[in-house]
Amino acid sequence: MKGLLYCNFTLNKKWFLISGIVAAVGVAVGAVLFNVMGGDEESLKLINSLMLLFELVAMLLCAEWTGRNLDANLKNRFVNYTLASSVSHNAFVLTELIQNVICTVIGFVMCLGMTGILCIFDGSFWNVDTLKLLGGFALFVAVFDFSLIPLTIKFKSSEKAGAVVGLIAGFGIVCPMIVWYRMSHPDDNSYDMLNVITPLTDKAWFAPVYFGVCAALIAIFSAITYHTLKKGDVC
Amino acid sequence: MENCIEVKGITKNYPQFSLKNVSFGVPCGSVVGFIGENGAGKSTSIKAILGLIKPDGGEITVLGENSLKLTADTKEKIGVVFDGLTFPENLTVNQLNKVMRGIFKTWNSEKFFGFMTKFELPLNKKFKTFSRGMVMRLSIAAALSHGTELLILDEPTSGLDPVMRSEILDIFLEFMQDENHSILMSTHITSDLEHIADYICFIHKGKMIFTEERNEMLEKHRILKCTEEQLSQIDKSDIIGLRRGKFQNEVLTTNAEKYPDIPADAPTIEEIMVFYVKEG
Repeated sequence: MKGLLYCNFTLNKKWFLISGIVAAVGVAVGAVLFNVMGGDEESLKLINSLMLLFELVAMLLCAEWTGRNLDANLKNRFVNYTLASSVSHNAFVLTELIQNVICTVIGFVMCLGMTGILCIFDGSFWNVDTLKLLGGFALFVAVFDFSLIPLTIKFKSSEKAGAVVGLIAGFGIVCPMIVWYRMSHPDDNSYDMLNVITPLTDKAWFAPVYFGVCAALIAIFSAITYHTLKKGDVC
Repeated sequence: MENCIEVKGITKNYPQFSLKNVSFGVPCGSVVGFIGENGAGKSTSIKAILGLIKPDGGEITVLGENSLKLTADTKEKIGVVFDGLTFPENLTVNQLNKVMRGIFKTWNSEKFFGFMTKFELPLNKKFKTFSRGMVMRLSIAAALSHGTELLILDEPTSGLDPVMRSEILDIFLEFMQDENHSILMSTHITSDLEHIADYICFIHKGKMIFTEERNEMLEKHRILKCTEEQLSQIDKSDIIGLRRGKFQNEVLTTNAEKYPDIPADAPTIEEIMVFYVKEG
């Protein structure tokens, strides 16, 4: 397991670098906009939305390579090599899970860093709603990427797997949330995702239910991946 | 002799190909050549032996364990070489050593770097810059640098020039100096096996044609060089394969002694394989 983790992180340092560059560009853009637009409430809202976008992209980039890496390792049959060596199916799944967690944590910390730096310009960037959103999104990204593994093995392509899970997540989760919000708040014309999320995250039951669902999904996809490997014909 | 690999009646069905009731064994301390044309089922059988595919029927035992339930300790004793590069192409030798140290408990870095020096492989160049010969030497070095007792090789010499093939076969012979070591080597370059194989397993279109001791097999088979008239005298059931020529016909048979008047030649493994395939 240690060997696989070392291998995967060695091969994919560039993704962290790209993610870091996106984060740095985001902070720079935020700083410029703050200076140009001033610190009134409307401008801060717009900059905040833009920063969220940068943060989400940086986080996605951090987690992106795990699927691509699996894809490459299926194509060059390194997965077969490792499974024929002393890496068990369980250890393989656990390795994928650990790297998923590490990447998500790195992405989340990077986003916190971006928000922290922007606080130099205005303390209101660091607010509970943004942090909740980032935390929730980090979990979403972790589950999303983890759910790709069995499909990547099935399709032998992370792009196809990403497209399938992306469509399911987009039309099954994000779209219904936006539609529900628009219907219940017809007077709100802003595009701030915080407005959509906050009514849910404010509920006391939301956090435990969200964590529970994510943990259950991780457990389910771990089991599916294990059985996919066990079934064989991986590469 | 005890078998370190025992394949008993495995079947595996794919839409366009099936393994049909394949059985053979690899006696401990021997080299078994696994021959057959491309697509005959060699790689599928090897994947089944390594537990990488689940057969629809039959059973495989490797070093005394079911192939689908191989423990990590047993896997440590199996060295695997697949055809071509099976490591991430952006790794270097130094990095691969660290990766393998984390995969195999018995990984021996000293031995691995010893092979690297012997094979003159660069330590800091990415594998994607390696030639095919370098890739195969790297794979073999990796397979031999842990507590390997059983080497399973899937086409280790395909696409290599004769000098490189000879070098690689020498490495296998060196590995076989230990009497507890065994090799299962699939190949369609049968001439490689003339030098090292103790047994030959021949698979064709997913069916095992024969598993025999190499010398016995070569002794048993004969190519009869006959005219049309002589050919008509040969019992049809004695003809394994027939190659018609303008002036002379060639018949592969295991009953050459029945036809003392017809000149007979000893065949090579390749000729035996070709005759069986042509007839099949």
